[in-house]
Amino acid sequence: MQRYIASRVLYGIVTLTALTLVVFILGRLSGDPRNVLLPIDAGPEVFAAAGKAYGLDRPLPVQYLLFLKNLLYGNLGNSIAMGRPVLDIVVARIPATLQLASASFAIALVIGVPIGILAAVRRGGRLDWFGRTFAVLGQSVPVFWLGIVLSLVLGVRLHLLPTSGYGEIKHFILPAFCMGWFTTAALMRLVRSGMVDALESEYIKMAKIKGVPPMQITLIHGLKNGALPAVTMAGWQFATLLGGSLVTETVFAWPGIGLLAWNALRWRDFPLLQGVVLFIGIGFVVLDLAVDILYAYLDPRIRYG
Amino acid sequence: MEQTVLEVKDLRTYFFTRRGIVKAVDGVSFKIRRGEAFGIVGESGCGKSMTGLSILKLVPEPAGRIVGGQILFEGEDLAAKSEEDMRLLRGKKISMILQDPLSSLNPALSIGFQVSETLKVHQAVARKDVRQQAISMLKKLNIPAAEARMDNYPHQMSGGMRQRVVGAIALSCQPSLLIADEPTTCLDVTTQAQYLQLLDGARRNLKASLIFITHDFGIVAQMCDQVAVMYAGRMVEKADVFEIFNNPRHPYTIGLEKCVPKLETRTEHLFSILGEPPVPTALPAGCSFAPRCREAMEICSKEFPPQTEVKPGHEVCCWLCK
Amino acid sequence: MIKRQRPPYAAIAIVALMAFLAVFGFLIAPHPANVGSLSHRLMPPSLSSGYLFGTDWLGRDILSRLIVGARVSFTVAVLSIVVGGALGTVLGIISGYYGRWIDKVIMSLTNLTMALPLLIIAMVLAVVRGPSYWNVIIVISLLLWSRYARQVRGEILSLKEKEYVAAAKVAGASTSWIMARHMFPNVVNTLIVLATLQTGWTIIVESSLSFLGAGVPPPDPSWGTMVSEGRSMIDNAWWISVVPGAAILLVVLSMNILGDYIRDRLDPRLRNI
Repeated sequence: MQRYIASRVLYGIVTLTALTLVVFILGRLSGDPRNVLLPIDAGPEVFAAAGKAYGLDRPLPVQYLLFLKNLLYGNLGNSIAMGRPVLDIVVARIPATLQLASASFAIALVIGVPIGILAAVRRGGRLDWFGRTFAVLGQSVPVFWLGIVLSLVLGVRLHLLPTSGYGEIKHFILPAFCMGWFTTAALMRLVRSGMVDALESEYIKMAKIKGVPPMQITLIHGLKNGALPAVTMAGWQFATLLGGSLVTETVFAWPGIGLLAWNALRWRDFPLLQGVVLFIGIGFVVLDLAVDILYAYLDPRIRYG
Repeated sequence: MEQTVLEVKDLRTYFFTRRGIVKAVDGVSFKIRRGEAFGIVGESGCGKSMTGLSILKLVPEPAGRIVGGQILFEGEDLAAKSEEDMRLLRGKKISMILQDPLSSLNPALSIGFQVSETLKVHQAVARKDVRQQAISMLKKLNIPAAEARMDNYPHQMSGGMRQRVVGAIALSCQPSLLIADEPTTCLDVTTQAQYLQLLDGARRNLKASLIFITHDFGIVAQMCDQVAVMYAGRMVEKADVFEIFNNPRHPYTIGLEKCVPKLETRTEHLFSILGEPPVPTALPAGCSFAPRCREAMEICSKEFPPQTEVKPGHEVCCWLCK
Repeated sequence: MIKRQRPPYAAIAIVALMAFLAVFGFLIAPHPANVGSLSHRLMPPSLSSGYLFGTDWLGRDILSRLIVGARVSFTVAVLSIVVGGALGTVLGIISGYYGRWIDKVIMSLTNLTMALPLLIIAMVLAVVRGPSYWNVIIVISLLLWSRYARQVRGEILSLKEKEYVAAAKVAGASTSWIMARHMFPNVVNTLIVLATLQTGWTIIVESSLSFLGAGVPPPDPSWGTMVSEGRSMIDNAWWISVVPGAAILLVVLSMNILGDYIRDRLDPRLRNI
């Protein structure tokens, strides 16, 4: 198992490096990177000094290494619009996004997984039909629109829930529900199909032969195997959630890195946006790794393989 | 006094499919005494596995159903019992071993868990003794380093060892009846003999009866006291093991017996029964074996032969024996 | 679920309508999509006023903008799938057929692509190059290609072993001939299923990007942009945002239902997508 984890960590590092390369190239796409990295009103001395700092007189690979070195030291430049170091700005916003993502994921787990299990056990029944309809709807609704409609109906017209703001539980409800919508549907589908496959296997027949009570069969014998496909995808789902935070935070003015990215886009603040990309990339990689480890733990064939 | 552990009367299990009705088990009757080993032999698809599953009332639904007959286990008719009552019997009084130990063991659960589970579910032993009892079951099936094995997973064991674990699970609650459905098919030949010996010894110790389902006529000779031959859902011959081998009367049984190669005879060709088993949804009228039978008579394709007792304890369904 | 299902007529109708509008829409739009009539600003939807879905703050007819927007979303979706699908298919075939190191390289590329936060990279592209159609198409293609590559590679791996490939080799066929004439036709089914299943998702991604401002450049009315534009007026002119979003929902839902149906008919093995 150690080897497995080591290889996954290595893979994560490679991915991150590739991401930095992509970001680097993006910065150089329009020619002189100073055009995007410096404020419009930067004077000629600032311009020249930046040229030296980015190593613009050196060959491109060296520039890349300089860039990497800066990254590793936490130097992500200064935000054009806010004038402060990007690192500080971004890090300050991460908790809000993580909280929202966790709340959404929790909702998805609590709703999606049980419905998925029940739909698999009562295949073809009414709950299954309901679940499948919900799943299709879940993957067809544009989240930003859902957020706007819910805000309109529950917030503006009925005054039931706040449409923006941060700090109390009631502020979480609408955004978390919207953000988790897609994931709930996806998890429900995955759990259902994983369970259906598991429930058709020989060891389930064996459990029946042993006289194990039906609930125990479903939850212990079935779920331990049936949940595996969902777990593999869970990491990817959480990553999609992070991506979805872009839209949800924008709709609900949630002070996380998603909203930050949107503002950065509007202000054409490349350094800030660059910082957000890198942090989201790190988030993806860390999540993937966590899921790989979880999967290895759950599947004894890998743990003791 | 020898009691009857199981008496099956005219059991019928049918499958209702889009292509027609499959009469998987079509009027099967037999009796098993305490401690007796009863073998059911036949080709794939003859209904022998489904007979075993029917006794446990685990026929795959919704297509399959027991449509008739009685299954008298220790006096009570299982056909009339509720699902919950059956669940309490399964694993405790009647248990079953399936063919492929790799797929019958849950890959995500430890051996210890799977062996202890039956004990816990049926509360056969006090909670604190469950682990010890599980270990001693593994030892009875000659699994070395049993204590360490409890924390192993199925993929860490060899095929033979897995099948022994399955055997340990089946016998852990000391059932009165053990049904073994082709337990050695997935084992290599050398492991087979060892395994059969172990299994037989263990079950004899418990004075449990055995239904041994197989397509291998040779194994049946070793293990069983009584033998029944099945073809296309029906039992065509039934007798004690010596009778069946020395004096087979049904042409199918004779054919099967000839298929087993013997050391003493020299042959150049291995014998095989000509033809193929019939398509389950299109069974011929009369005796199902008639199309393949060398001695078929006109009446054979018209009416199914009634059961005839050619000798005490030896029954055949064949017009030749009428 | 293996029962013969009826074709989803409603879904087919909606998709056909959208395709029709995408191509011929500009001919039947009642009002110009990009020019507003200032005396008719912020009118609510009504059947009698001639503005079926109302107008926006510039007096532009929402229905007409919706129709022209159909073309925008549709074009982007189709192009993205074609580019991403072609890229994925070609790389998948190469990867599966040649194996060894080139296979490893291509498969690592798919993993890498899937690990990148492409939505936000799209935003970066929008800052660097300004919003453009090609930004969106490139990003979405990158999001899509790995799926195709993996699926196609899997198919090729199993096709490779088939006898007719060996027979063709013995007959002296060149590699590219074998790939084009023997392997590709077998893979077409999978491609069709994948394409239909992904169209819905592609439309959602495109509209999300447009909503965020990183998608199709104004004044072209992508449905996503329309939703975004109407946000500030949600209190008194809800239709500006709600109607385009509802259109997205309807079209994506129909595509998904249609996609499921096609998948069940052509290749149920892909059920676990």
